[in-house]
Amino acid sequence: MEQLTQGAFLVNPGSLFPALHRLEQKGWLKAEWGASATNRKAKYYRLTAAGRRQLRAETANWGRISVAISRALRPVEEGA
Amino acid sequence: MIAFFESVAARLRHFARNLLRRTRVERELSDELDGFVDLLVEEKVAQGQSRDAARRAARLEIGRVDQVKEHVRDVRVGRWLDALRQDVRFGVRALRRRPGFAAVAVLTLGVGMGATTAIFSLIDSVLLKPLPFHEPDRLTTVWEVRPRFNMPRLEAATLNFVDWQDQVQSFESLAAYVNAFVNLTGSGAPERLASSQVTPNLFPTLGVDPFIGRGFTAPEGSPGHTAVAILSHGLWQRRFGADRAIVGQTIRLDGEPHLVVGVMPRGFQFPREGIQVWTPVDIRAGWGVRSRASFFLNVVGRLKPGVSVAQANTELGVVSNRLAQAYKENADGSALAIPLQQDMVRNARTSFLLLLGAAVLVLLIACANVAGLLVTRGAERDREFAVRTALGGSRIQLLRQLLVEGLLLSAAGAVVGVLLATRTFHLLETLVPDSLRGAVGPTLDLRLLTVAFMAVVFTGLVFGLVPLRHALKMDLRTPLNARTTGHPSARRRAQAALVAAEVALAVVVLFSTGLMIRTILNLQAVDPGFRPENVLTANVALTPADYPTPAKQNAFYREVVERVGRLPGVVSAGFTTFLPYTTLIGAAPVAVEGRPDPGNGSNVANVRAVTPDFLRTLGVPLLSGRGYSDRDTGKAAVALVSERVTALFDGNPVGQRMGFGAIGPAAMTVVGVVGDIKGEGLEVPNTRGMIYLPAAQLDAIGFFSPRALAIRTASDPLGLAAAVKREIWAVNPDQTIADVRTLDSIVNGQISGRKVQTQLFTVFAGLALFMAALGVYGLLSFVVTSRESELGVRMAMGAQRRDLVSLIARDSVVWVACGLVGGFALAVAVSRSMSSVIYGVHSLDWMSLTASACVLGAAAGVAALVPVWRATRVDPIAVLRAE
Repeated sequence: MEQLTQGAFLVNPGSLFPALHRLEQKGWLKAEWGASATNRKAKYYRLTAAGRRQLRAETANWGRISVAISRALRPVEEGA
Repeated sequence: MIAFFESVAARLRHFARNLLRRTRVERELSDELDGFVDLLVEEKVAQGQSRDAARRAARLEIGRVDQVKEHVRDVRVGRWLDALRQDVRFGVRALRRRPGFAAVAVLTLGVGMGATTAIFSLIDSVLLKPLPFHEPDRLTTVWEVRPRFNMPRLEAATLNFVDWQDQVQSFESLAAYVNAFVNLTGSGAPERLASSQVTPNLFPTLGVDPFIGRGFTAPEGSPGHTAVAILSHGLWQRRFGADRAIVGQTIRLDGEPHLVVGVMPRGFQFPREGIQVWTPVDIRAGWGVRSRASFFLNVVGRLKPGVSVAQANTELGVVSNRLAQAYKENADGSALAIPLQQDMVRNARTSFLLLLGAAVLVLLIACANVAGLLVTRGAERDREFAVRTALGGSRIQLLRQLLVEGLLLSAAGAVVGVLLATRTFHLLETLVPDSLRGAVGPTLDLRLLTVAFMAVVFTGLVFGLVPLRHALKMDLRTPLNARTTGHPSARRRAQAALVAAEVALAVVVLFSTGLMIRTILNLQAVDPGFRPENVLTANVALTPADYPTPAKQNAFYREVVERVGRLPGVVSAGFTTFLPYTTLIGAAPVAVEGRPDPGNGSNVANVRAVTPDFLRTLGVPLLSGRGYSDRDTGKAAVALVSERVTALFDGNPVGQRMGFGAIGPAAMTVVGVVGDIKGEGLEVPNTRGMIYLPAAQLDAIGFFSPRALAIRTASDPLGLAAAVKREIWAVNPDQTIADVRTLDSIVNGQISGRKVQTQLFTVFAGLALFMAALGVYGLLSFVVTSRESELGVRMAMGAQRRDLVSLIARDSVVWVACGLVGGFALAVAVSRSMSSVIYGVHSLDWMSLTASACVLGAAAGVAALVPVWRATRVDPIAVLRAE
């Protein structure tokens, strides 16, 4: 996440794990046990069909909001 | 939509998992975090860090594992349940730490809830649950109304009943019945059975079919038709071994063969408990006295669908007007339909609601009491809450904790309460009106438990919330810093207000109890017009087939009276038609020679046939003239009249001639005047006088034939019961003997319901008093404890014991006085609702009011003694050293 956002978002484990569990309880993620590189047990999460739908909906929603916000902010920037 | 359900299903799955497989869920969480650390380490090693450094960095990045776990736990579905479990466990522990407090609180609440739920169960079974008939809300009773008779309602006269059936359109059907007794003979021992003579349409009107066989059909009950009968389920099982073949067989009732056509279902009882056999009477075909002035039919009707009781009453009014114009007897008469359930419970409604009111007051006092305890206990817990808050407990958590503890207490109280309530059910049964007794009764059912649950939530919230106010306003530093509990004055005020409220409510309960007790005393002091003590009574009805003529019956009476009279301990004995309070019907209009019929029914008097010694046995005084003797047998008919009847005569009635209605005025000579008896009920004024005829002069056997035996004894009457039975069976071995009891018990039966009610009120009053005293005690104890250091300092400065006492007592006296004044106001407000259930005492009885105030004041004083004594024993040295 840190790499993806080039350091803009730093998600610490105290927020990450509750979020993952919440998504799993909503049925949007599915957890699987797998092996880590050192052959130890690790839990991997995968999007479910419902989760993918939700992601699309949320992404679309976010798109609308961010467009709306940047439109709303532009006059302010220009004015400033 | 599907997504929504999927999401719900996923949540449910996790809810169950989180709840049921806690260890596994926890272990997986640990594994997951371990795995995460491993991955992190691998990643950092791959980036070129040494393994040790990578491990240190990873550990640093993940932070405290326990905290992460706690965050995850917080988002789990069903987290609240977990929290609740913790709260409950903690609450139980907190209560167990103070067992004395918990016991007092639980018992107090239990008693309050027990009282409330018990009375509610009574109300529920009698007033709220529908009667066990088909569409019972369409059923009504119908009564004649004759304002001049001074009685709110009268049974119907036959001819009027037939006119109602023909003319009133509001009813789908109108049925009538008369209660009676019959002797069952033949198979097995002779037995006297309560029976009801009913019109053939009674069972269809109620909407109840026989369990086996059929109901009555129209021509049955008319003269000349085969006599038929329907049995109660109980009689069928007890007497006929539940044999289905009984239908179609013949049984002997009053010596006459009756064909059994059906058996009613189990639990069916109408018109009252204990009716064991029904026989049909066809009033249209001429059964009964053809009259508009002889009132003896009980009428029950089924309204057509959609017709209201009010509409039926309007129509009854129209028809009554028409009848009043057509017939002289019906002048100023009308009729009244009353919903059947309302009619069956009569006065029970008011008295039950009053009892419920008293019980709820007791519950409120209990709540105030426990709230008071919690407030003082809250003072002790300030430190605990302060510590918990300081350690990061949120206020919401504290509030939840307090509420859970409150609900725990009230739930425990409810368990105690329901157990107590079920113990009182048998006592409450006696309050169920006769017409419903046996069919309904207070039971432990879901509705009762629901009410108990509501009481739990209500009380738990009420007293759980009182300490909340303080918890919310609490300043952390005070309890943490100070050795003592800071400033308890706000708590003291809250608790004092609670005590004042308790006292006020207790005044109301005590005052109502005072009214009830005075009512009972007044009723017991009512002179019934005879001496009920030391009289044994029994129902000894003769079977008409065995004693078909008055002469044969009188020979029986004479022989029984003679034999019984020879028993040691017997003073006198006699027979009469009906004993006081057993039957109200049996009246006739009196015609006096030389006086016109007043034409308004004011000349109706009750008629009873008696054997010579009956009036002496009952203790009815002879006022003038002479009583009966054995010589009053021949054609020279005589009569005794009671005082109220003398108004119909011109001057002294002795020597004047009188008769009844159609017989004409010159039938008999009045030979004496006797006292009136209060035969219609101890608390209602007499509406009719009495005419006593010698049994030996009855023309024919029938309705007025004597059947009740009364024996005055020198000592305990019941001790003679066995000997009396032996003497009667010596005369006729097949004779039925029923209802052997004392006259006292018959008279007391008039007030037994009231007595139970008063007992309950007294119990409630005792509880209210005790709890109010407990409240005062708690308040003063708290005051003394919280002001201990102040008292010690004052003492060290030279204050006298007297000063300390007045310092401590002053406030509480003020608060108790406030409570008393408030209680007076409340008592005045509720006294009006008592007026219909009290007798011979004004609803604003100052004696009851003063007495309740005095008793409460005294109880408060006693409760104050110990804390005040403790205040004077404060050791100033010890206090100063502790400061």
